[in-house]
Amino acid sequence: MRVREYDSDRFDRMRRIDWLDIDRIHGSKCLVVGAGALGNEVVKCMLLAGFGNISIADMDKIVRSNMSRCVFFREGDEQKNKAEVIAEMAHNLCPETKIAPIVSRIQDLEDWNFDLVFGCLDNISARLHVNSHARYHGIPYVDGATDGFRGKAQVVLDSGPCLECGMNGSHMKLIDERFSCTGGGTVFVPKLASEITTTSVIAAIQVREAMKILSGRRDLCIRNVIYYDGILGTMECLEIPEDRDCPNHLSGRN
Amino acid sequence: MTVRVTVVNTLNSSSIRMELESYESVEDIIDTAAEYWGKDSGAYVLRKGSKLLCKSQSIDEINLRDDDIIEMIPDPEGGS
Repeated sequence: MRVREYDSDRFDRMRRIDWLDIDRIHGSKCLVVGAGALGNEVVKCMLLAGFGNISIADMDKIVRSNMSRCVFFREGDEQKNKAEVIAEMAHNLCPETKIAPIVSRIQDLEDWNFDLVFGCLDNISARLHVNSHARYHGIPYVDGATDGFRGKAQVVLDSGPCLECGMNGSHMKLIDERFSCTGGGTVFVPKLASEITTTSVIAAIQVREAMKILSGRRDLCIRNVIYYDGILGTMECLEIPEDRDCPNHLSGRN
Repeated sequence: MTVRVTVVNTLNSSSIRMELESYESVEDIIDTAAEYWGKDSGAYVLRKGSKLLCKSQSIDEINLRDDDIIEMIPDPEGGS
């Protein structure tokens, strides 16, 4: 190696983490569901970390208030499809990454041929849909959620508790509500706060957990959910027991 | 058997004492606490120590004892 030759390798600094499987991360096919604040930050981290094949699904269009926390959106992008704008801007950042926009409801997606799914959603109904489909297809699912300065990330693998195992009646009362912080004709009850620093923290955790999973290091993953409080500056992992009544765990039981 | 526990609302640090029977469930605690604090919107979970409590678990199953502390924490669901 010539002096400073290592600086010409884009992923040299990542290669110094001996357990990271950069080739596997690059060769994986991942789905990001939601192209809002979390979706923007997740895709940004994925591109810089060397993910090579990303599909991003969202039916929404951009509104100006998205710009306080969406790195890929620009003034003048209003009313464009979020997924398409991210795909276009992502290509500028990393031309070698294959990125495919899917402009539709996640409930309409039929092809679930992915190695890993990220949840960057704003409603419980879509989260449960992604959770059950990922579980059914045996795809690891890394979900993120925020509310102002609080957030959480949960890792769902093909065994162990799923997203629904951690939910209860208070979630089911809200199942059809969208927790969007933007207006533009969407229903949002309650109207939640959202800001970029919490979004960045949660998105970074989501991508880091995905890197562990794709590198074959599930043993290092969060078990099972991490809660972040940006006001107190705390972060804590909590275990979730598998719910014996959860419909996603019923198959294969007697 | 009846156990008396403290449920803490982590949003405002207020707490209530609750009497629970062994057959009652985690869902019952959430409903009662949410009703007491007037929480008609938002999602919540209960934690005891480093574990989230599962809605279908009974008081017996989670091994609650007198004077245990259960925390009710808001469960974020946004992201757009």
